[in-house]
Amino acid sequence: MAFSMKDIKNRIKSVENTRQITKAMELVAVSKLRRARETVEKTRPYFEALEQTISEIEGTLREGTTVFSEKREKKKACFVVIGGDRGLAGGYNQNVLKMAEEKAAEFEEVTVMPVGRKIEEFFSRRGYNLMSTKYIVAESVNIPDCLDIAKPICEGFADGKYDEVILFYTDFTSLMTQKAESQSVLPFETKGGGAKSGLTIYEPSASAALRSIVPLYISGMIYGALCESRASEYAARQTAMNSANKNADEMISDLQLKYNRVRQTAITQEITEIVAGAQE
Amino acid sequence: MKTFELKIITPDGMMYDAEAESILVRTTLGDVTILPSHADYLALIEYGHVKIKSDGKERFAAATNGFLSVSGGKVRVVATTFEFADEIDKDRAERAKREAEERRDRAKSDAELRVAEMKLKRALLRLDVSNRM
Repeated sequence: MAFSMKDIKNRIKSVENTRQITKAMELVAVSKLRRARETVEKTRPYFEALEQTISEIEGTLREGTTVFSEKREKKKACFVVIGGDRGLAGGYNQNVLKMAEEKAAEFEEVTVMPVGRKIEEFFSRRGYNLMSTKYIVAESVNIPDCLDIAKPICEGFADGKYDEVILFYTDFTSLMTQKAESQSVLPFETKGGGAKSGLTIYEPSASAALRSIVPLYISGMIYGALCESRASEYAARQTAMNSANKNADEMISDLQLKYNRVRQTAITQEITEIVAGAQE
Repeated sequence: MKTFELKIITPDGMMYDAEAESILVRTTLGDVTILPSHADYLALIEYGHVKIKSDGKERFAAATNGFLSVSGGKVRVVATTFEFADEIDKDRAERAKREAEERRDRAKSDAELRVAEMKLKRALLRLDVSNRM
């Protein structure tokens, strides 16, 4: 056995320290996950109200009268990619990044709006054109920030700077499964169902209303995706840290066994030596 | 007194969900008061005060970025932020105002100036509303 007793003791200690950290991270992830899920629930009525209003307005406008539903040849794209600020969350960041990168190959020019420090690092290292780096700390992005993100994106689409806007995020299905998803934001797809008569009074006008509600809707979409992503991140981290804890436990018990064996060997040897000495 | 159903919805949740007698909202085109049995209507809110009357009492609030809609006699205010006057933290609003003023004076580009002005307007609105409660 190549290890001395002291070496093994030190290793046990260091694994125990790591375990303490991973345990703490797991607990933090659990409580943050609960909060993130509550936020998702709270935002839902707002989002539904926006969606309903937009389909009502679209119902009163004739088709093709808005820039936001215009379909163009797909050359220039804007990607909004949502991820985490930190690693140690299993494949959480990698999955969404891989998906975005694969999609980027379909376009001639891609501008990225990164949300999350890991995302920003990835795309700036690869030389992508970044729209803004103001919102790279995903943890602190709030609703007004989402609106600030959505506005230039909508303007860019209306001005023809982007032909398509795609949102990349991680969908929270359950504690065990989170899936990277992409969703096309613009051009705008109406679900129909705007069964309103044209009697609503719009001030200043229906198209003006749509122009300012669409950015709200998109910021709502981004915020919703952000909440989902956050919940996924915490769930992924919880799972990753849980298995790290299990591994640490296993390692500690292996090392402990080894330690006991080395200790026993040393004692046996000592006794043998004493006995041998006494016999002489 | 006749009333109507009023819902105020923000991303932080439902801020108000009850009957009201009237609501006054500062829309992008000016102040609008909605009374019961109003025709279907939609107007935009950039930032402005809101006055809700229910049970004979008036409550002031500040709303930003959203819209007011009347549909089938039901009134909804959908806003990015909505705060009742008594919920506004005056010290924070005061601080935000000073910060926004500094940012405005230091702004180097048009975009920076726009952001600072937006922040300033919001802070002023919140102060104004909280002084009126």
